[in-house]
Amino acid sequence: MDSIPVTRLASFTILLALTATAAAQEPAPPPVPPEPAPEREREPDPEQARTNARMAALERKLAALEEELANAKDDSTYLEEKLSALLPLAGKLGGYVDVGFFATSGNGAGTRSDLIGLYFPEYLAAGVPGSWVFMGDPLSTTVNSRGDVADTGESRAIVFDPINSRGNSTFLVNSVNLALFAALSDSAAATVSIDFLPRARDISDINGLFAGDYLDVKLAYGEWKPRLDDVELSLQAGKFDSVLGFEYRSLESPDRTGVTPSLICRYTCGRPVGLKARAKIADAVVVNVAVTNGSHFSEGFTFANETDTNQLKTVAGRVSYLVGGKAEIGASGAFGAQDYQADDGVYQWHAGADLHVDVKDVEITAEYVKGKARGQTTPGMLARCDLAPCLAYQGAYGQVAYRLTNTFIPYARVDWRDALHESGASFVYISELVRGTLGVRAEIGTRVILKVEGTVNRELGRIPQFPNDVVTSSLVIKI
Amino acid sequence: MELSRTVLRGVALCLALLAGCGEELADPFLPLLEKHVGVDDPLPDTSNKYALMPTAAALGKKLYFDPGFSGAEVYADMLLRPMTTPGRAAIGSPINVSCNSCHDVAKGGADHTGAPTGNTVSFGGGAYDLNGQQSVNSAYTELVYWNGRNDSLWSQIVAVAESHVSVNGSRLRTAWRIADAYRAEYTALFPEYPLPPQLDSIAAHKARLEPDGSCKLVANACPSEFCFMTIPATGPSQCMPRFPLEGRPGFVKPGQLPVCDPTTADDILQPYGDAWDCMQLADQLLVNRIYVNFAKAIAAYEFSLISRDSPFDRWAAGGFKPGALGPAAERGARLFVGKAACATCHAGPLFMDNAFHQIGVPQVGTYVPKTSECPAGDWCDCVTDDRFEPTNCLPIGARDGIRKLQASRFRRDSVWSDDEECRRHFTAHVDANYAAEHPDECDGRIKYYSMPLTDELRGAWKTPGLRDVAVTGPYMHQGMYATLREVVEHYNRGGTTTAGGELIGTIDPKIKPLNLSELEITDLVAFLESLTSTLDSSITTPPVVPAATAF
Repeated sequence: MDSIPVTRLASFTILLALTATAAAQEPAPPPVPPEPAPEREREPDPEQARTNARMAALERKLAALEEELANAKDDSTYLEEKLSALLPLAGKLGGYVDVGFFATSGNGAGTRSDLIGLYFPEYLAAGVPGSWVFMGDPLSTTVNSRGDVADTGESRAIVFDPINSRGNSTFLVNSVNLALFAALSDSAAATVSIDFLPRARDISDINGLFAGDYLDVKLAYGEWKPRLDDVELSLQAGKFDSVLGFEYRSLESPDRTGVTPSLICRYTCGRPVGLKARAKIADAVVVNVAVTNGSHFSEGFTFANETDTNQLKTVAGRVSYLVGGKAEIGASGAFGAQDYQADDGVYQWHAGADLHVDVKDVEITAEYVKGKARGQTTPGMLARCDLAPCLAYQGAYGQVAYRLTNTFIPYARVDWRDALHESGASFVYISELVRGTLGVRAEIGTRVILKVEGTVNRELGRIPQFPNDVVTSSLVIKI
Repeated sequence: MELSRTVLRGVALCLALLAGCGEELADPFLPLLEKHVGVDDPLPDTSNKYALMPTAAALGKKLYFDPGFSGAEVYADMLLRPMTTPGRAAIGSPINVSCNSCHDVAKGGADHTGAPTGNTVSFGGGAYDLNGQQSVNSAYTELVYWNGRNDSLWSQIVAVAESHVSVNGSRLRTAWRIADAYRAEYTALFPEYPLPPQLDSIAAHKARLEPDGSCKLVANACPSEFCFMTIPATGPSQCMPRFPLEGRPGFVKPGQLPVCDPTTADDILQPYGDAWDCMQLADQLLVNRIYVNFAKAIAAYEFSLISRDSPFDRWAAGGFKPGALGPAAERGARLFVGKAACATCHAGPLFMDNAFHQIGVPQVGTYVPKTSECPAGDWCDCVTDDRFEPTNCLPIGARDGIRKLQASRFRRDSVWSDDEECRRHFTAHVDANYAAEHPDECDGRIKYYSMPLTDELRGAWKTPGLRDVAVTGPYMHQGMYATLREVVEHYNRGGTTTAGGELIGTIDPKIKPLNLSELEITDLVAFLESLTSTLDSSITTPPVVPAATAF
């Protein structure tokens, strides 16, 4: 948009500059005598002849420049017309390409089976096969902003394995994102965000749990912002961002400080389907509420479902207070029928608190969550939660990022998660771990971001240590 | 420049942290695989003191291969319905089957006779409702048969030798065949149970009989040494042989005793008239003893059918050396004890758990009965409440089998058993508390005698062992899968199938989708194929059996 005046200005500047140059090359003309020239043919003045020749040359140059300027004007007009046609589209299309490389220790999976009941014999005694008792966190080896793990190993709850690295380092196109925005009126709009995901697939494996290339429609909602005097209100319908916690605001690669999500992102970063209202009151209080089919768990986690399997909807909300534009403190919660089961009496709940501080060049974010999916067990069954899986969890993270220069932002994050996920004899996941992440983000110009981070997982409690650390990177190019 | 160094140092620190990130857990697969190693000799069978006797096994082998105990083709299925596919012989013609016909010891002791196309159940005198189980390694099972209806091999043989869809023989025929063709060996093995003098020879006995099977009168009198006057419930008395050539108990409702009533004879269940039911009790007991001893001798032979020298066993003997079994089978072994959790039920050296599971296999197939085909009061009755009245509901698996075991007259605590302690406490065996206090009594089978008939048993069938599984197809209790791959795929789907039919009971909670890839399925099948042994030819080579005598 700025390039048109610049082009014009440049053309004129060139013209003026050439004229000035030509003038500068001539000596100062001699003073013209006041008396008229005599009527007789005078001897040709060689000096005058040179001057005339120069003038003629300059006139030719001027003519050429005028022609060049006219052409430039034509080009400029053409470009202006083209740009005018494209301007509305530029406001509607966006996205990015996220390319990365990662390496993991071990087999890339965040869990190991307690095959012989060495660590958790109680589950073996309850009839859960040892190979289905998983220790660790299946999402602890995330390698990109989407939360994809390097490998799901032999996981039974989280079985979609889009990367399936088997512990091998690999380059990866993490995602090709396309964002669509359409302003329907001054106060209404529609938003869509789609990830195109190029992934491998063995087409001969009909039972393969990897999809090959696939699409992920992450956001698809309509929004209406009625004009009110004191309240900034937004009403949304469709598949929208979560209302829980803080991290959901920076899920996309360009927005996320680091490469990978936190360990608790699975509980707060989902994109549920339903209705949502967000109100900002007096520039100090933000209230966000949603009624959705299911939880706000992320799709990579086994609980989230887009179409409901029960009648009771999930109600979720968050209240936050803005402190002078530099800090925000919030509390959020959700309650509803448990995902992927039919009984309205089997519910799940979630509660959390979050803090975000942005002072000078330091950005601090911290969140804590706790929740439970109650599950359901056949009376007398030793292996609990056979009718509906049970999940009890709590976790937290704290992240500090410092803008060292305009380009470099080093950051550090510490995560903690403690969870028990049971499903009868089908599986048990015992997760208790702390995770440390160090990384650096380099912003190269306005469209290119390079991030590199290393993650160290440490199991806690009765869970043994095993290799499941990750070094990963992300080159984000904004379209 | 300085900043770049700082960044590089940070990355190096990350990598250094990763370098010391803990070691992989000790390989837990080896101890799991070791659980499947080492098939010991079978423990003595207290109920069959002949089980480990070589002389009994030698006689049993002949009996196992002898088709002379089998009866005629009835051309009916388990529900007594006429068959719709070819049988082994024309109706009424001898089927000439031996135990080996459906339990080929050269091939895992399984049925390789090839039922007519589209039918995967076994065929004898008629069409079974089930696929025959393997006799190899059968000495190790607590309960025998898919539904667990017998607590010893010999009691199982007692049952099938008279089944109309199986051998379709009779205990009288058995006694006569023993007396006629195996007298010396039998007498040597069972000196405490001498053959009664009336069982002299088939030819001599036939000379004493009229064409209708009654005794020829001697001086207008019924000769008392070989014959007696029957006292039927209805009709006139007859002079009948004390030991007719053919005869077995007539079918009565479970829990009832058969009575001498010639009108109860039918072509299928009681094709020899009511000869047996009209016999004198003492003579019945003598024949029963011969019949049981016949079964015990065969069981002794089956105790020698042990599969324990497979490639897997040799791999184990070599310390599970990588590459020795082959990469696919070795990966499959890990899947078997790991991700696929097959070892949860197919446990131990015999790859079985002596338990019953509903694994999602429906009642489907031409001769596989559904509960809707078993109306109240019928031969197969799935309507009458089996908690209050004994029934014969075939499709419900272990629920039917355990009930039959609890009503069996040939249990380990019966008079036919050699387990004196078990017999002595026969009356206490209905008490679950007694069973709990004496868990080892009756070689550990006591728990089944008072086992509650729960709904968990409905549609559950006994876990088969997996040794020689590659040669024992078709698979599942009704033989619905022809290949091991299909079986693994069944489990991989979480026990679901599109084959239709009737799914009875509740699927076992352990049956869940396994998330195996095609490669992993291939590996698992490769491992299963590595469990195949070849038995010593001295055990499997068919013996020379005495020529058959026409009855």
